[in-house]
Amino acid sequence: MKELLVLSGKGGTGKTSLTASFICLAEKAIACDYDVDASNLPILLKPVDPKGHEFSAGLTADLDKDICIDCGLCRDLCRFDAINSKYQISTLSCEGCGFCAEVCPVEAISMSERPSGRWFASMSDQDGKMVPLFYAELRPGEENSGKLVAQVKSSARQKALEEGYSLLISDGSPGIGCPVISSLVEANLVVIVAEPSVSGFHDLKRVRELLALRGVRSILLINKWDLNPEASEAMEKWAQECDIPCAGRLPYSSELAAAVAVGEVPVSRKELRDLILPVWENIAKTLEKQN
Amino acid sequence: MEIAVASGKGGTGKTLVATCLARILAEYNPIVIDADVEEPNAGLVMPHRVIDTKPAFRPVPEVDMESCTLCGKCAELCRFNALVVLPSEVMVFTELCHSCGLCAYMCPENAINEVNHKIGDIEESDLLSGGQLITGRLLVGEVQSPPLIKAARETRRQDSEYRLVDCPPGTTCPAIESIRDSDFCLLVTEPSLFGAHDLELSIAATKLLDVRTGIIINRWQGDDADVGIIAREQDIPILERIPYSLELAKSYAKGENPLTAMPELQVILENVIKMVKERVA
Amino acid sequence: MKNIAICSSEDKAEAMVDGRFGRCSYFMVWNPESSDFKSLKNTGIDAAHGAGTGAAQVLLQNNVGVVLTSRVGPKAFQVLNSAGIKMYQGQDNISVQALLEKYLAQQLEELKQPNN
Repeated sequence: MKELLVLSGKGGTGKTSLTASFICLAEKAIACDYDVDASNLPILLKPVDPKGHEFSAGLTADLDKDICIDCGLCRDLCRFDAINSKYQISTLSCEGCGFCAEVCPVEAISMSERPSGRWFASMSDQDGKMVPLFYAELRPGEENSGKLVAQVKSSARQKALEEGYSLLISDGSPGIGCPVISSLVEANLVVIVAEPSVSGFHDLKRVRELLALRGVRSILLINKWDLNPEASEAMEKWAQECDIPCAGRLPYSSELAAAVAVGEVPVSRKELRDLILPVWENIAKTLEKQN
Repeated sequence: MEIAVASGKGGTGKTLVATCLARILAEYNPIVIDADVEEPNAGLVMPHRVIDTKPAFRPVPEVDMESCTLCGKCAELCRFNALVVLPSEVMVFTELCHSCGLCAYMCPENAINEVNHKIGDIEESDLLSGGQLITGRLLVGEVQSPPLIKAARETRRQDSEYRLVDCPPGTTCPAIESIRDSDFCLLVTEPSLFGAHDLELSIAATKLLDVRTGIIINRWQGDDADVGIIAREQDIPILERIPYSLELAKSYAKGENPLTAMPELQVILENVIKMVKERVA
Repeated sequence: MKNIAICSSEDKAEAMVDGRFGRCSYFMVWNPESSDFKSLKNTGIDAAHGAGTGAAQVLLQNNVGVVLTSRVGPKAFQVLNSAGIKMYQGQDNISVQALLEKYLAQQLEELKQPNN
């Protein structure tokens, strides 16, 4: 089984619309959305009958005011300012470390599982081709520890094993933090979708640094190259120096923006399909060579 | 007044709005805080002179094996499995540690000391347009961004009437740490299904934080689309709309001043400042 | 003699293995002296972070000398390796009992580095 992960560093580069396109162009693949913070792949793939599962990513403290003797120890020791002067605990601030519960002299504090979000197993109908889609929704304010990403990944891989899928295509989250690091586990190749802008180039370099640190191979795809042809060229040159192959360039397309704005997978329109197909073929070829 | 500029979805124009606001408010010497520490970009589009760079740390445990009796208490108590007690040593996994301090406090032999672990840098700069820029930059491979965001927001070289926080995308811990306790949160979105979906999540987050909120629609093409519906349902005002402009996108990609490429942006954002002021007052 | 632990999806020897060291639901621990299995719940699985180190700590407390697993991450590998617990490359789609038999027939390869 191979996993192709799509990342971008910077948000808004077109990562999700291209991921959805690759999923539709691939002969047979399972789709995953690891952007559990703001999951957008389902908006394009429109899952049918998703099955939701509750998810907890840790603990939170509960304080029983009837038992509390107002000694203040928990408040003084909490590093996260999660307990206020009235001994109310802010779930938003609580890290779930359990320090307060451990030191409370009268055992007024207990730790309980916090509901952090839900993950979903579903199917998406793409012109008669049924694509399994796994995604999740973290509750606002929760910690994105990477555990939910790991959960989505392992459910998808389980399905792949059971039903003989040999390819997973996943949409990563922006940035280079915890969720991105979790999404790299077992990925065979990362497509970096980059925009030729000052910030796009900066973020591309940081993603590349992370991938090098984790020993994951990547391939570069420049989206909206014509916004800044000089920068596009500079990025390709840089990629060559870093030994990163290029999957190609895609121009800025108002057609693509229009398709995505109404929730259509770009490759469902012929003009866009003709544009994206060669890029996909390059990526698929490179993936084939990866171990 | 502290204004957080945030969005659920990445790439909607947070940095564009935050840095243009800083240019417009230049006479007040505003302070821009780049809290998107995973990918800090404000400095790339705002000419500045770096004055000082300071490392930022968080505390992590270090076990003194002379005093340690391998009792296993620390590993048993740590909710993050950051300590493992082996037959002849204690292993500390810094990247798993949340810096809560429980292990050091509870160790019966006082064998655990907390030491500083570097998570990134805080860079203090003067903006050439006027004011300052505080940039948090997370070390690549480091997983804990909230302590660095907190440190960046707490950095105060001198005070200003206006503080603008360029927030990381999303609605989880890093975004929360960036928006928390600000006077107003500007949510920048775009009129697409993605934009509307992520906006709804962002609004839920600012409601949890009890921070006053307003919406700016970027890349507007004559229709609020689903963003308008969410705004109405959630009762959050749409303060302004920035029209779609390929010209602006091209000039911004080169790192040029957006107010030159799109002069009307000045009027739009001056109006935003006026409306935010009315709402905070 | 030290026990042999196998990553399992359920708490019985007929169950299918779960290849992931840190996030498997149970460890089936086989005692070579009594030829009995006992099940250990992997408490590491509940952690938001550090499932691997948590799981390794569980094994350290249960006199385990050998682990059969398909995938082990760098942190868990470091712990197990330092504690002298040997890891052998497991297989997917096989029962706990069948994997143990392969190990006893010396058909599994030792893992010399993390692979997750």
